[in-house]
Amino acid sequence: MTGIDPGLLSLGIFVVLSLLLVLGVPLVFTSGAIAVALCLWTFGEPGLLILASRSFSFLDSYVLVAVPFFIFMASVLERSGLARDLYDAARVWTGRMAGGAGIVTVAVGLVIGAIIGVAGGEIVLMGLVALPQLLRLGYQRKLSIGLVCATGALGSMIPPALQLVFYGMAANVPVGDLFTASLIPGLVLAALYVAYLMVRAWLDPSVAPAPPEHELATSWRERFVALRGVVLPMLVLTTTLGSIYLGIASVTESAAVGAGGTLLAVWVRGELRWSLVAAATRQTMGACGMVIWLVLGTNALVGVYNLLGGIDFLKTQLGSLPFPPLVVILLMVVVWMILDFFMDWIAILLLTTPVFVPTIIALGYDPLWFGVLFNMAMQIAYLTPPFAPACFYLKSVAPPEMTLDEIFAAMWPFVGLQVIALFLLIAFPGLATWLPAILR
Amino acid sequence: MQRLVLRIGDAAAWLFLAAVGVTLYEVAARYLFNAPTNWGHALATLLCGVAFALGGAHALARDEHVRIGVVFDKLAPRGRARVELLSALLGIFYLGGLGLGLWDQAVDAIWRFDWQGGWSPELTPGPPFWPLPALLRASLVIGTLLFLALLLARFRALLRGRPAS
Repeated sequence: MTGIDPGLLSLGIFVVLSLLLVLGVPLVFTSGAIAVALCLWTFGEPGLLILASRSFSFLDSYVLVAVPFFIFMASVLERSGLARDLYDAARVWTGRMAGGAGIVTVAVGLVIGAIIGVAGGEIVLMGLVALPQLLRLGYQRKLSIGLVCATGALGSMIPPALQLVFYGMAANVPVGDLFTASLIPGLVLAALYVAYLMVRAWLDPSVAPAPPEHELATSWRERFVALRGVVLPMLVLTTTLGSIYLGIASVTESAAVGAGGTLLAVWVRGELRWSLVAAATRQTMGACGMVIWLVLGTNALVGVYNLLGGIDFLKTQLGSLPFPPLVVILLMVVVWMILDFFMDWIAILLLTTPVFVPTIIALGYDPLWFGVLFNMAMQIAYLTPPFAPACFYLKSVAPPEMTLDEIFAAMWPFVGLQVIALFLLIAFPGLATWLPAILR
Repeated sequence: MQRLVLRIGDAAAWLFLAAVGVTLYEVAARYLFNAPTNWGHALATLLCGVAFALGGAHALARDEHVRIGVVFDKLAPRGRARVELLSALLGIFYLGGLGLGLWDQAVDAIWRFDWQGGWSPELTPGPPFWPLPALLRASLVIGTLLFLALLLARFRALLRGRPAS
């Protein structure tokens, strides 16, 4: 088995992998087949045992159990009217503020992001709930679209976030720490969005008009009616989610409490129906089957590649680049951005972290911070046309006359804000590392 | 085949809900009654693991496996069928290899082979709750085989010139 030049091996894997991927062969089969071939070639049939035991020990992990729980929470919430009621209540209570509905959009985006850990579901939800209201109030279309996509994407920045669960497992960093580390950068993003909105409204009040007078004349009675169906469920959700943030229970236990709490909240609202639960579990199964097997396949490839010395080789290569460490980090961000044109976050995460994380640790960076950086980069990837998942999710629920081109054009200011946040995170790593350090 | 896989997957999806229940019970027992169970984690892991193992075939049946569409979406039906054929071949190779490895592992776990070539059932007491990891292993084998069977069915359909799904 020895004597394979790791450079040649890496090149070979890279060429075959990218060729098959570009053709459109699913990633799980591509990486899995390469892994099996490498095992057979270098170790013979016993090599397959490596594959088998790696696959098994991946499944036999308690952290992984949190994944279906988080997906289930999101699936239940997507089917409930809670988000709509929450948005309406927030609007009634903040009616008179300048740019009020826009700020409410960001705030509600944060709250929903704290329940939903996947960005796609949240964008659809915000597109259904917030976008029609913003347009009805006469907000500038581009501003409304951008705001909805950007805040909808916050779901993966504000814990719980699926991306961080998988990063934690891949990089061997506690998921709970990642959650707290991602919180402040997520809030920084939200603050940037609000600031941008305020500046735009201040420069030209017509882009974010106040609601018409007759809508402002809501009686106190109406205001309290709007709270019905929101307060109790939110109470349930905050207590359950509180356990996540405070790190009282393990991530998996918090996720279960969150799933139970979401069901309870839906029940309190009188929406709990068998069909809702069945549809949510089915959606959970679909999402999990895809993600888990994707990890099984790539995990197998990474394992064999590592045994053959490939990761050590790449680590040395990357570490001995004739640039300062900061440039290496920026290069990695660029690699993520390029990969993002072809694949989604989970594939990028699985293919890059096994090489990147050991490298940045060797360069003296904190893997915790690096996970948040990855998450932030994926925020940008999410919004950047032309391969912007956020835009496609929004398009699926947007009014039919809203073209994809219009949605694309609306992204750029927000992509700019995200890039600012990314550089802030690189310049001040404390944004990510401070909170977990004091909570520990 | 397709329908069978979907039905199995839909049924297995309830395991997630069961795992939520088990974990909630565990949380209540530990934090409210200060009487933690010693089986909660293992059981929840098993329940989800079984569903995960079966999920690969389920996701294939629903065509949910991640692929890059840049070229694939522009291909004519003929070209797509070729890529599907190649995908199925690679998938069969991967799952066949994984299945073989899992099988060897299972054989090692179940039987004890002695130097004289005889064999007897492995009866060494395992860790607590020994049946749980064994069940998880078994379900991974079954999930892999189910996935493989669905791919083989697709492969045959493709060779006969029918669309994949």
